[in-house]
Parts: sequence; structure tokens; C-alpha cells
Amino acid sequence: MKLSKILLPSRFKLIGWILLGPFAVLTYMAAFHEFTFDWLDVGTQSLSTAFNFEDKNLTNELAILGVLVSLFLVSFSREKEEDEFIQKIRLDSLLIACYGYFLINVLGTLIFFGLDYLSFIFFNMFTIPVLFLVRFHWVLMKERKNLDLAS
Amino acid sequence: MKNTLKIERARQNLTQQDLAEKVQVSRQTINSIEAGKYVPSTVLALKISRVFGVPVEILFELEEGD
Repeated sequence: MKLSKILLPSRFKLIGWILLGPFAVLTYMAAFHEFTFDWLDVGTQSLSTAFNFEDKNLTNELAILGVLVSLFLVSFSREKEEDEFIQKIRLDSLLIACYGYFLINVLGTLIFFGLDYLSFIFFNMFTIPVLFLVRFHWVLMKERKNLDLAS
Repeated sequence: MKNTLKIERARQNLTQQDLAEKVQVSRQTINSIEAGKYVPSTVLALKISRVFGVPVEILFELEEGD
């Protein structure tokens, strides 16, 4: 079976894991504790003024981009021993993550209104990669456990 | 689909790791095939049969419902 060529080399996975922790904490701090870096303040000339937003600091944008990039690196880098079986688990996990995303969207639309709905949409950005990673690594872990039992 | 991988492997005195290395897959893949949890691609099935030197039909057999 031809293996997918659109995956990143496996070393990017480690970089992704290293970046994910700090950026996840930064996103949490920016979202819930209004934490900002002073050096990311933007002046009145910024685009945000044009759209009349109160937000004049780019900390949350940096945090979200950081989380998205690190989730991307972790999700779409090759395993050290990537083969057709691992790719099947990968594809199944992606499908399950998409099912989860749709289900959570439906539930969120029924449950949240107003500003809460906006927060829900914000966090729902991360649903697909997070569900994918949880399912993919859970199955890989189970397979490794089976292997230890078999040996 | 049934398979006789484990039997053939024992007959030829190969470990899962040996076979995995010969056909360039992970040991998990060989383990899952033997456990009947994963059906290999045609290419991998042919590679395995070449390692054992037997026709692919000896290693893999259709079951009812397949």
C-alpha cells in the first residue's frame, strides 16, 4: 500500500508537543484571565481600530495561532514506524473526530446562546484535532499494550 | 478473513519482529493481522507470502460473510 506522502516528518511531532503546552496555557490565561504581553500591544493605526474592536493587543491571536500550529504538527507528523496499519488507525480516528465535531456542534447550538455560544464556537475550533489525537493515541496505546501481552 | 500467519511463522522459526522487519512494517501490524483485527493490503499480503515462500492463498483464506 502506498503510504500518504502528505504527512510531515516525524521530528515535527516532538516540536508540536513541546509548543502545545505553553501555548495552551497562554490561550487559557488570555481567554479567562485577560493576560496580555505588553510587547504585543498594537497602536491606534491597527486594523482592529478600523473594525472598532476594544481588543488592542495581539496576545490572544498569538496564543490561538500557537495552539493551532502545534496541534497541526502533533496531528499530522508521521509516527516513527508509520505503516499501512497505523494509517488506517489515523484515518479512522480522523473520521471519528469529524463525527464528534458535528455532534458537539449540534449539542452546542441547542445548549448555548448569546455570548456563551461565541465562547463555544471559539473552543470548538480545537475539537477535531483534540478528538483525533485522543482517539489515535488511545488506540496506539492499546495496540502497544496488546503487543506487550503477546510477547 | 482467516489467516495462518502464526502457524507459518512458527514453522519457519520467525518472530513477529523478524517478519515485521522483512516486510518493513511495525510489529503491531503483524500482531494485528495474526489476531484477525487487520486485513493487510494486497501488496503487504504478497510481500509476506514471498517471505514465507508460499502462495498467498495458503496464508489468507476467505471466510463466510467476506
